[in-house]
Amino acid sequence: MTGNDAVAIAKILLQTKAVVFELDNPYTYVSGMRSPIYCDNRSILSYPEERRAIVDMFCSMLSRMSFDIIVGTATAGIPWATLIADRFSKPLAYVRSEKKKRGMGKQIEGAPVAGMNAIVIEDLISTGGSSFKAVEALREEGLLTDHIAAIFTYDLPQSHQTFKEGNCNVIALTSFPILVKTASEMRYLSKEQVEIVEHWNRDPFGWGPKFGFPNAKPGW
Amino acid sequence: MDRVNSMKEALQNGLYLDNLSKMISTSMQMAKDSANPLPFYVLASVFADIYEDWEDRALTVEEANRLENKILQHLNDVMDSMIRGDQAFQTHEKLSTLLKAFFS
Repeated sequence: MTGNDAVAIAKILLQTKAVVFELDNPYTYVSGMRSPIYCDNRSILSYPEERRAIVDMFCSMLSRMSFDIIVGTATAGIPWATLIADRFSKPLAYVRSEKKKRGMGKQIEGAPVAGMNAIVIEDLISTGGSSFKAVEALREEGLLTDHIAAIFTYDLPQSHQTFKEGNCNVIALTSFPILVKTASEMRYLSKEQVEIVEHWNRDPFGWGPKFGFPNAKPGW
Repeated sequence: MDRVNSMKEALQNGLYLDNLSKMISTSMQMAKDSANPLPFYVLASVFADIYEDWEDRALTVEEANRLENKILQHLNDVMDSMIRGDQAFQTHEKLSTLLKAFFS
């Protein structure tokens, strides 16, 4: 991966509208936090050329690493994990965010074997909470899991802390700073708008209240 | 009624996925434990419907606020009715009002 590769991925995210900005009517995240940016990489799946470019980049990055199995996170990581595992002719599994409430109560599907060295594939990383839960679930099953590969990371301070404490490395095809710089160069964002979204990145929980959109959960 | 109180407290935090998930679990557990499971099961269904609709997509503040304005007071009314120990038919009336607002 080079800087140019990361910019190319950022352009794909912007052009396919996998990443959108909404500064006047921001988004509400799972945690109740408000955000001027939203990323849904599943939309890229509908674009064959861009999809192939993403998988090529993943494979280029992972080709320098040693692993036995690819594990996708449910649900958005699964298609990417499938395409990557197929390229490497490696086993594939997927991991849910929590155990199924019915049936066998399984969290991991496929046939992962304890002792296998797993690479987790995510579509994106925000605060890192759900991604790291997947890592913990795999570790509980005896898999060696110390790398998550994602298309995009918001690069939030919370995620740095989560993964550092959990001894897990994040490798992303592109990241928030590169995306915002690219969006600015491509005129998706004005200079003033760049400052607003960068403020969110520095202080994601404080951003909403400061800009007139109190978080759903008071006290943050 | 401690758990209804704690659910009402959780409701004051607003509707968002993490909170909805907790309220679905609490309502379902109370439906299983209660002699009058219907209100809890209805609440769990309402929370689960919202969760399903909001999950995995770009949800704007405006849209979230619109639904909150529509149903939050009615959700509070149902819970208050349960906390007061109203008779079942009284709570069911509140539930009916909630559902009408939810489906409107």
